[in-house]
Amino acid sequence: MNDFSKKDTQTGKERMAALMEGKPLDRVPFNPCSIGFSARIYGIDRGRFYRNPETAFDAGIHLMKTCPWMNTKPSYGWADRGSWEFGGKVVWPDNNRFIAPCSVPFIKDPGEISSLPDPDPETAGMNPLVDSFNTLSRGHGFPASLPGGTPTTLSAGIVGRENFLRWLVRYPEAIHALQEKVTRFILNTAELTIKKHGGENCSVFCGVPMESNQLISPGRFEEFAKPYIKQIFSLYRSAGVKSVVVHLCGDHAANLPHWHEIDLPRRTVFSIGNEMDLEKTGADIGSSHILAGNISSTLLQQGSVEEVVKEVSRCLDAGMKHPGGFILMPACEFPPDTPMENLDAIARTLYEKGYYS
Amino acid sequence: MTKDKEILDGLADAVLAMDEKRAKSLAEEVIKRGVDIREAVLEGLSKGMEEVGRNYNNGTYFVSEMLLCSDAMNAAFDVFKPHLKGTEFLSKGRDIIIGVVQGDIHDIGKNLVKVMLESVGFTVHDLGTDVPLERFIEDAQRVNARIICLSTLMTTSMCQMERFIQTLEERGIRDRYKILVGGSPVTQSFADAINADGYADDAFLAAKKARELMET
Repeated sequence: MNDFSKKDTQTGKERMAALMEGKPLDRVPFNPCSIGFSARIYGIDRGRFYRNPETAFDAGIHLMKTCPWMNTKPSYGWADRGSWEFGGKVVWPDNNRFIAPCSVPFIKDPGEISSLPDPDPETAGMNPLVDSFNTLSRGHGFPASLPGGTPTTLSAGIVGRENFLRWLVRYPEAIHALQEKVTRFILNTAELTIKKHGGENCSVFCGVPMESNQLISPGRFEEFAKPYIKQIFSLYRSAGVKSVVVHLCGDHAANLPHWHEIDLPRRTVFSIGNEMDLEKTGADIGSSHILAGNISSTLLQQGSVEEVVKEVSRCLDAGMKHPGGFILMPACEFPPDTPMENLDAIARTLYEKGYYS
Repeated sequence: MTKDKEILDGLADAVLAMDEKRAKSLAEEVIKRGVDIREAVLEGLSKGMEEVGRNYNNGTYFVSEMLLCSDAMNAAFDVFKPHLKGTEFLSKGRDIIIGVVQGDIHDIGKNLVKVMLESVGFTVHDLGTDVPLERFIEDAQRVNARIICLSTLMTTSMCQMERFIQTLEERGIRDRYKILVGGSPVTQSFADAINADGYADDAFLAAKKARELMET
């Protein structure tokens, strides 16, 4: 592994602070977006990781110590939420399977939506687990996490992804009613977290998978997703939240103009999947926001060292041109089964090509 | 235009318009008038789905519309199914096993592939999601399938595809099956690397590829 301390002139913390302030950096930071990979490096399965926020936190700290060249911190959470929070079930990833927990949809008829009760944000679903993780994070000087999934993602977890997509066309009023209910829950959860930790001590990782243009049109994003995302970011802005990552999972190129109408803080990080182009997205988001991405997760897991070197070089060449700053990241979560030599290939390429001078 | 041709065009239109009721009623009309069902599927439903594919590729339709078009196609197909049993259209040797590999529960893509395969005359045995490798083998043997379709949306589950093919090789039964793989993280180079017989980027290409594989 390359010895970054020979070339680095900033610590990881200083580098991120400089990036947030738009000041010069020594090199590109690498955020592995690691959850399952942290569990693997720590030698535990994801079932144990997700059921035990304390263990998940320790696993995150272990990764930081093992790979000090990364800009990483303990992370906790999963995308496929909603069902458990609203009274349904979640499937845990036991028996050494590296998959995140999954929602089991339980609403089968649009008529059932109106009778869904408003969950208690103190006790609903994963909220108590996130609360424990947040307390640990704050105790170690890291920010607390605010609810990051979009209302659409949670709604799809409640009614099922296919039903959600069908009902957008067939029962638009029911979908709006569901989105309103889910948004209310997210806002209630966020208010609790902000009250406990203070908005300035909170961060958001907003995963956006269901709104991808592979699934829905930009018109439906505008009608069914944007108004609710706006409400959530309006609360975050008024609470003084500054650290925001918007992870556009899949192809969201046609939705980008709509993101300009959402009140995001300056220096929001837009992390993109490998279906999107770094340079074009950089031009779209403008220099006040930070670009991140988009090493192919498939290549990380399945590709050769040479292919990973080429892929990381592509990302650095494109991303380092963005005047708003760039973070090297995988296209999605770092694949837990990535061979260690491919991780070394990222480090080697970053060491060789990721410095600004 | 003959009445029969009108019905076939109507079926294609009903699929394209996501109109389940109309598709079902036209399918019933096909049975009542004794129109060739094979023709009704291929010149009606399948034609409609081809147009759906074109609309998807040019950005007019998204997955929401594709699912509803599939529902309309299925509504008509359900009317035809009892009449197709034992016919050449659903003859033996056109059985396909499909499923999402173990570790993944995302099945929108798999479901769309299933519909497209049915629309071109395959009998599809859908094993659902999070399917253990052993079950793919057992069911493929049970129905004497020629093609097995494996799907995943997660990089974490791609290794199951590779393991599946290795298992077939270890048991000396690899040659019995054609393996078609797909899903968001899956690529042609991955398919080549794991020795799959085919890869398709979307549901429409998957049906085309399955037909090609059946002929080899």
